[in-house]
Parts: sequence; structure tokens; C-alpha cells
Amino acid sequence: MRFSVLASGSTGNAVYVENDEHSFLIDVGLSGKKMEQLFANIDRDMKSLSGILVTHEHSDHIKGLGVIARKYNIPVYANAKTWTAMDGLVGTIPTDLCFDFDMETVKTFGSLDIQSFAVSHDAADPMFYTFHDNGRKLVVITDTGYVSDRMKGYIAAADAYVFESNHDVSMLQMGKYPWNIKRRILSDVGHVSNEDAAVAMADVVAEKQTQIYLAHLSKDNNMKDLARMSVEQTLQSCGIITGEYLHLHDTDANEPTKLVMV
Amino acid sequence: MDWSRTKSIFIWVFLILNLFLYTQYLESYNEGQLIEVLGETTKKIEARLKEDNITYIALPNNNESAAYYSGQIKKFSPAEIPYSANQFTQIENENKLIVTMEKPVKLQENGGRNPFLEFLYNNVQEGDSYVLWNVDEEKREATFFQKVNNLTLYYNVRGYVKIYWDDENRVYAYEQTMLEKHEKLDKQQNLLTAIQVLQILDNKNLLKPDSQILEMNIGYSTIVQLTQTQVFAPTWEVRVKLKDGQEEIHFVNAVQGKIVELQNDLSEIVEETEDLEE
Repeated sequence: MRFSVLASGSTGNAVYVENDEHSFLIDVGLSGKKMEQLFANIDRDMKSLSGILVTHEHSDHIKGLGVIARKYNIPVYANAKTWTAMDGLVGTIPTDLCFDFDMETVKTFGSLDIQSFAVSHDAADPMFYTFHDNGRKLVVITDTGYVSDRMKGYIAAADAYVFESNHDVSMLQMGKYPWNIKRRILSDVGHVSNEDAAVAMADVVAEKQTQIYLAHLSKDNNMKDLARMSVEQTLQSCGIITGEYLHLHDTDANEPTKLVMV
Repeated sequence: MDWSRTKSIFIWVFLILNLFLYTQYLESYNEGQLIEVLGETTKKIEARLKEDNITYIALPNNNESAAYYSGQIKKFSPAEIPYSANQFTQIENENKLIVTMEKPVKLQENGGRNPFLEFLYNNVQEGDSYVLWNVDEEKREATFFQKVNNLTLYYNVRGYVKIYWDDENRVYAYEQTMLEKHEKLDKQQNLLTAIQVLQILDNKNLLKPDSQILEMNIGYSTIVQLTQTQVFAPTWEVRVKLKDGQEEIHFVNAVQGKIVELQNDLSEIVEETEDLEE
């Protein structure tokens, strides 16, 4: 199994996952044109996508969904409430391309099992996914106000994570966002901070080689270096030294990460 | 042809068209109200300051930029303290040096406002990376703040030097904390201009009538405190002389424009931090 975080942040999100038989896109949060560029950057073609997995209906996750699904005839998977919430936001997707992916269920595509799990976010019915292939596990989890024990059960002991590390609390508090937005981000249905993300990581990582991609960084209230330092030091206070078996990686709002093997 | 019906259709079409055009006009009018031409804003704020008799001489140049920086709290170890026959050094909580001079050192004569420089450079580790902030003649204490990116880091309990002298103008002790491994974070940020900062302060009623803006400088204030690392944000320092002769200092985050409330008494911060550490 291989993956690349094509883009991550409040300006648009998309993660690409493939094995030898199938390939999937998790969310299409950028314009069709930008998505095509990102695919070209990792030397992949959208035509060969087996499906698009939608996490929730916020625009930074579905901006290019309709365009891409229609243009390349790609099946789209989302849960029923998300389908309803997307009505009118993504244009008309032909019914033969619309599929239900219920919360907390598994779909199997050859050797690839994809499991959905609920997150806590202010959307209709937000969910993220874990991917299992040949005994290897990849987790994509962003857009959650906190990481519950139930979520931890789903995401534990993966080989690679795309993990939200949205903001630094002090930067957010000092920042220019209106108070109601700050309150929303900090709430249980907002986004996880660098430190909270690290505490959750410490609970779920197993003592084996693990790659963690810090994702969905706030443009105004975080920085790559700060997110990495903050996660690193919080992990250290939880007894985990990064670089031993756990490795942190950056993601970018415009540049895809290298396509790497899990 | 049914003229009565045609007439009704025309009336309705023009009514809808008029409504549409009116909403467009309202939208563009409202947008126009929101856009502030910089020149006009500057004139407005200048007029407001003039109205309140708030004066200033020359403001620093516009269009400055600076980056966020990080630094690590220096942990002092006895092995790396340079030997000096005249200094007795104690290390407190690994991060503070308390140094007593065996023989007090005479302060530089004719040193102007800063007679401490010679002592600082000759006796204090990396003394040239600190800048004089305050001299309290009554307590006989001089406080220096550490520099980050060659700019003052305001009120950081992990980056200061305090020098104590006796009634014969001889330094008998000093204390020092240090932030090391300063690193630039992220890209260079465009900073708010001096006039924008005055506008922010004025909007918050922090500039009192009949006062004088003495100085405006760019420095750094601590925005994030991690276990070992701190992150510093570019910050405007605005020194204001009040009508009664007292001086006030305001700090404004130079990227986000928020007022930075720094506790202006370093000894209080030191005590609070030490309480927390205990």
C-alpha cells in the first residue's frame, strides 16, 4: 500500500491511497484543475481511480468533488447524511456513481479493506478511514475536536498516520479570528491542537516503525516547525522519543508529499 | 395581441430588474464602505491623534518584515561555566545563574546611560547578546533583555540579565538566564506599519489625550511556550509619555495586531514561574 497527502489545510484537503489493484482519493477539497496538477506531481492519472471517499461536506473537502467525479466517471462513497448535506454543493453526480459507505463499516476492494469511523466535527455525519492491506495499516484522521477512546480503538497501532495537528492554542488565542470562530475551533467539534494531537498519538502508536504526517495545519495559527516541535516535545513528555521508532513528517497546503510505501 | 397582459409582463420584468440593480448597488456601496484606502486611513488616524493632542515626531519606516523565531531554554551545567577567580556561581533550577563577585567590579565611568556595558561584555556569558532595558537607581538594579534576530525579546524570564551594584557604584552580583539555538520559523511576515499600530492602540483607547509617542521599535514577545522551546512573534513596542510625565509602554503583535499584555515587572514573573515549577 502506498499513499501521498496531496494537499492538507483549510484551503483544501486530499489524500491518495493505492495498492497494486486499486486506488482511492480521500476527499477532493481543491478545484478540478488543481487536483489534476497534484496527480501529475505524483505521476498518477485520475482515470485509474477506483473511487473517492468523502469524509464530510465542508468545502475544503469537497470543492472539486463533483467536477472530478463527473469528468472521470469515478464512484463516490459517503454516508447517507453526508450525501444529503452535499446536496446542492457538488452539482449533480450521476446516481450510478453514488454509493453509500455507512459509518463504522468495512468495504473490501480486493486485498484492501477500508474501514470508516466517526470523528467529532461540526458536520452532518463526519467520518474518516483506516486502510488495511497485507497486514499493514494506514489511518487518515483530521477534522476532529478531540480523539475519543472509541476513535483510538479504530486507529491504534497503525504503520502510518495522516494525523490532524491543526493549531497552537496560544497562537489561536492571540490571532485575529473572531471570538466565535476561535470558540468553534477549540470546541469538541472543532479541530485538535498540536498538543492534544500528540497526546492522542502517544496513546495509539505501537512500538514499531511508525510514520506520522502532521496534517490540516491552520494557515494563521500554526507553522510546520512549530507543529513538529510541539508534537515532538509533548510526545517526549509522554515517554516517546521521535526518531527512534516514530517519525514525524510535514504536509503542505499546495505540494503533495512523496508517494510512500506503508 | 393581449396588450394588457404584455404591459403587466413588462411591469413585472422591469420591477424585478430594478430590484436586482438596486441590490447590486447596495452591495457595491457596502463594499466601498469596507475598503479603506491606506492614505485616507493614515489621514484619518492622524486627524484623530491631532484631535486628542497626541503628538509624535517621526514614525519608523513602513513595510517592515520579520519572521517568527524559536529558542530553547539554556540548561547551565557546572562544567561549562568558565572559571573566573572573581566569580562565585550558583546554578538555580538548571536555567539560571546567580553570580556573586568576590571583589565587586567598579562600573564604567562616563558610560552615559549605560555604564554597565563594559561589565556586561567582560563578565557575563554572551553579554553582547543582551540589551539594556531598565535601570532602577533606587534598587540599584539594571535589567537587560536578550536579543533574538538582533531585536529585543521583551520580558522573557528565560532571557535576561540583572546586574546589582552597591552605593560605591560597584557591581557585586548579577543573575542570568539564556535562550539558545535561535531558529527562524516559517517565512518572513509582513508587519503592521507604525501608523496601523497607533490606530489599533487608539481604537482600544490605550492612547491617552495630551500624550507624546516617544519611540516605536520592533522586537519580539513570547507567543508559545513549549516544554523546552519557546516561539517568539514580531512585536511593536510603543513608548508613550503621558501628560503628567509618566511613561507607558504598549506592546502590539506586529503580525496579528493584537495587544500583547506583558507583565512589566520581571521579578513578579520570575516568582510566578518558580511557583509553577515547584
